[in-house]
Amino acid sequence: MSGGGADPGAETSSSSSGFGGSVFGEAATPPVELNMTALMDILSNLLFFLLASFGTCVVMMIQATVPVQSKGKSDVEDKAQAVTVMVNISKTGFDVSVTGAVQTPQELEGLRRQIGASAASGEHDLQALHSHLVTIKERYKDSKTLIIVPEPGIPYGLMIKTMDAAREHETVAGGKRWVTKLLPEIVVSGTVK
Amino acid sequence: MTGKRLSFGESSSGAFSLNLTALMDILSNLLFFLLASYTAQDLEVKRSDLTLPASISNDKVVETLMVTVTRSEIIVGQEAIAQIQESRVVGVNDEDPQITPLYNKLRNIKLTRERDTQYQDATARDSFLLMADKSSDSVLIAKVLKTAGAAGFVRVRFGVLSQ
Repeated sequence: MSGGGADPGAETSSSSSGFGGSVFGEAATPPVELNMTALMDILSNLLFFLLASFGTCVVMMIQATVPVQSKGKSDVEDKAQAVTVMVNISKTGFDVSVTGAVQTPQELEGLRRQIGASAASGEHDLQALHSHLVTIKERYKDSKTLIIVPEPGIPYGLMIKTMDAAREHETVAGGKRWVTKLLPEIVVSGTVK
Repeated sequence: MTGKRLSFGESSSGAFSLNLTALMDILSNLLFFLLASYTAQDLEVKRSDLTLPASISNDKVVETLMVTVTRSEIIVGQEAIAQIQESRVVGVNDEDPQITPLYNKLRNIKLTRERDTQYQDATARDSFLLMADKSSDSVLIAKVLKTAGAAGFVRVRFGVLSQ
């Protein structure tokens, strides 16, 4: 005499041990096998594509203004703690001059500097330019305008590097990194003939 | 005697299984990171005749009118305006303070913007993004800037590569 609902045909070897089937004799669920080959193929293709395109370029921007003739206020600073710095870029180096409406000519002339090429690399000495601009900023803390006047033949890349040298100054004090703005307002002008 | 006799050091089965869980985890994390970085990039530069200069600037690019100065041409938006040969604009004298075709194009855009209510903010209306090749002569760049200034675009944003 068989038990209620029991199907003698469904008898399996595991039913006697209790694994892989219920006590009512249902067939054990076969293990599901996932074929990951196609998924791995897609993921790796996507990964290689993204890796290749990730390194192309990350574009940032530098804000500046163009000098235009206006009837309004001059760009020359008229505060005691502010001056306007002009950097002439020539093939031989940088010519830094300072203008201000309040300061004396002797005071401003003392800040004028000719910065030649670096002795080590023979290229424009951006580090020396940066140091001099830091000196000017320390003396005139409200200064923020830089006028760049490149000569013919100066590559555009050097103009950008000059802007970088004048943008900010980084110091480390007390284990912390401090970034102070130098001359963030940039005006690009051409050589007056 | 029946049954296979094992020789010394051999396992009974040649099959082995790879556990791919950790590998899938790493790949999916890498994928999500790259997807997020890829979609966050607003601007792509894909010209062979344009190499942007590198800069330490961290200012993100703001979508605006783009003026591109490559080694061979000047492009406003997607339209080539003038050809460049040996750092000189073809058809423009060196003594000319402006680049006429560029001025005409920018002036038209400026007049359109002044009528467009979308450009209520003067900063947005007067600004453009300059993407220039790093080897471009500064005289050419200065002329482009002067032309743009004459056309009413007095705020320039230099597109650079993040260093």
